[in-house]
Amino acid sequence: MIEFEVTVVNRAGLHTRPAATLVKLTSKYKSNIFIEKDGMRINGKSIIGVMTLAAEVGSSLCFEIDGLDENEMAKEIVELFQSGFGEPI
Amino acid sequence: MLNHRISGIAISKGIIIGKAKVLDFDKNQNELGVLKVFDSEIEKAKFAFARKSLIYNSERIIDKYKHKEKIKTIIESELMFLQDEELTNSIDNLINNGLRCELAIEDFFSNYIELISTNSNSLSKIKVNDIQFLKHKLIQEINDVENDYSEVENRIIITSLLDTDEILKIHENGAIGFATEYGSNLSHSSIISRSLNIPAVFGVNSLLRLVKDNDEIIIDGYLGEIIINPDNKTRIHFKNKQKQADEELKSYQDYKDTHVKNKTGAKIRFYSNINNIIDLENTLMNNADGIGLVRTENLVHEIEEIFEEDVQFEIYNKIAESIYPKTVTFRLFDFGYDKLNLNDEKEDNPALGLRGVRYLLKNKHILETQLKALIRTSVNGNVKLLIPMVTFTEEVIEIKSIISKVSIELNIQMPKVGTMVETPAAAVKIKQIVKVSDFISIGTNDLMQYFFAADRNNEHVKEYLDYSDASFIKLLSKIKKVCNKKEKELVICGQIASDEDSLLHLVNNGFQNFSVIPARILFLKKILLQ
Repeated sequence: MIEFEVTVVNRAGLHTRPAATLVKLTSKYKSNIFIEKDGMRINGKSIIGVMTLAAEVGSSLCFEIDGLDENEMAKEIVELFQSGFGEPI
Repeated sequence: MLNHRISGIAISKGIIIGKAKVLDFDKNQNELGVLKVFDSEIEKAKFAFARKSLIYNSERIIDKYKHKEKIKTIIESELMFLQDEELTNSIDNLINNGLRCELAIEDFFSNYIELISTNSNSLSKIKVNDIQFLKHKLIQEINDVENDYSEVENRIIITSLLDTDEILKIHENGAIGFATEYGSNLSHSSIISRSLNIPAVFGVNSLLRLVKDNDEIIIDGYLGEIIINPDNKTRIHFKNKQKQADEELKSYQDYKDTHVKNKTGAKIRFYSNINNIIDLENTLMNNADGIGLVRTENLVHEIEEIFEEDVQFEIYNKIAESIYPKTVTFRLFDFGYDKLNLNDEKEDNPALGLRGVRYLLKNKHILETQLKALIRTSVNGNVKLLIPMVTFTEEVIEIKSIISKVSIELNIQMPKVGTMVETPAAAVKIKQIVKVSDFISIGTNDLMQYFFAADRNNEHVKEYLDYSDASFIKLLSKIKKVCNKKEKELVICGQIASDEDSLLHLVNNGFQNFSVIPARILFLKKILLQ
């Protein structure tokens, strides 16, 4: 199991489109994933969950990934957040 | 019961004889739902069916818009939402706790929206809107599952109340006439019935109690009457009347190219109101002087189009090109109230709520997308824009500054911008409003309902909406005087101009420009010429 933290850098925050992009990514992998923010813990493969976080620019999210392909998934997630989901930063 | 005659409100002219199809949607409503036995398995199945059908629909749209990235992504996120186990589990749980499917959906979404709202400081409006759309779609889908339109072909529809979507669906499935127990002459549904040229009578008391499936029905859209199971003599009488009406309709064609003038020799102009493509065809067929009002919110069929500039542009451009060189006035989205309502919270008083310009100023991303599409359309050179539901002069100024900003960005000359006067406040402060507007359009349907404080969808107060009331005409005349003085064009929109008597009255009072449903133009010309 690996744990890490990322920061939301795109200006609009984790709104519908980025949330969908993230869930599309996490769903490709077999590992289980949970995301935590401000004491709320959600399933990272559920768009409903991810949107509940309402993560705005500057907020940080804790990821907990567990499974055989956890490293590959983690790497892709970090890249995705760093790129700001291809949106204005 | 033989030859039973009941009267209601004449909604859409024409006479039609046919077999009744009773659509009793009321049985499915929540309020009366207590009468039905609650079965959680059935409710869950209803939800599952609606969900699957939306998933199928989303996949189809994704395929259709595969080259339009923005629409595709929005639908994809919707698809993920629908496929999310969290959704199914939560709804099923609520149903297990005794909620009906529709209520479970309402409950889930309102909790969810509240949760997102409290988690976010500067709540992204887009996010909440997306979720609202999905809720609307699910509820609509469930209603569709319950409403069976398969047997309406060549039948006369008997029902309690029709909304605009239902009318269009029933029409597409081949119904030939409508009679309803509730509804009024100014409702949106009545406008749609007229624009489809389908004989209709609304507000018929005890209709559902009196009519059974397959009863023979005559609808007299002229007198606003229906006859249940007519005897032979009555049937022949109405067949003749129907024939005469058809001939009269043909005789209107003589007035297609005729110009109408008032007693001072000034030209009377008839523009058309447009809700859909059928209205556009009618506009061209009846040789209207232009398009006085495009209700743009009615042209949106897929909610995603609100966010898609190119899709909107195609629709707007088609209209502007078809009517060229005559002019077309596009009214900015008038969401809320009895039209497409995207508001997050249920409003106790939607008619007095967040609608028209109020909604647009709070949802600028929607406004700006529409403006981009409209301003691109204005390159045709015959496009004017109209701001709905204005209360304060500042609203006009703010919208105009946004229009100006978008025009500069697109490097296109700013089109003319008019104000729709439909609140008493705007009517009273017409002097200030005229100063900042290129033209004025009076939305008489809404102005009347606010002036007389009588809901235009409530048949119990229909007598309060009095076209001929002297104080109301005086208010209109005051607006005309101010417009004349400042040499600003004035158009009268709404049902008042379609009513023969009030039209004559208005023409005699010096009003010259009217915007009415296109199917009515030739008839009104004929009336004025006689």
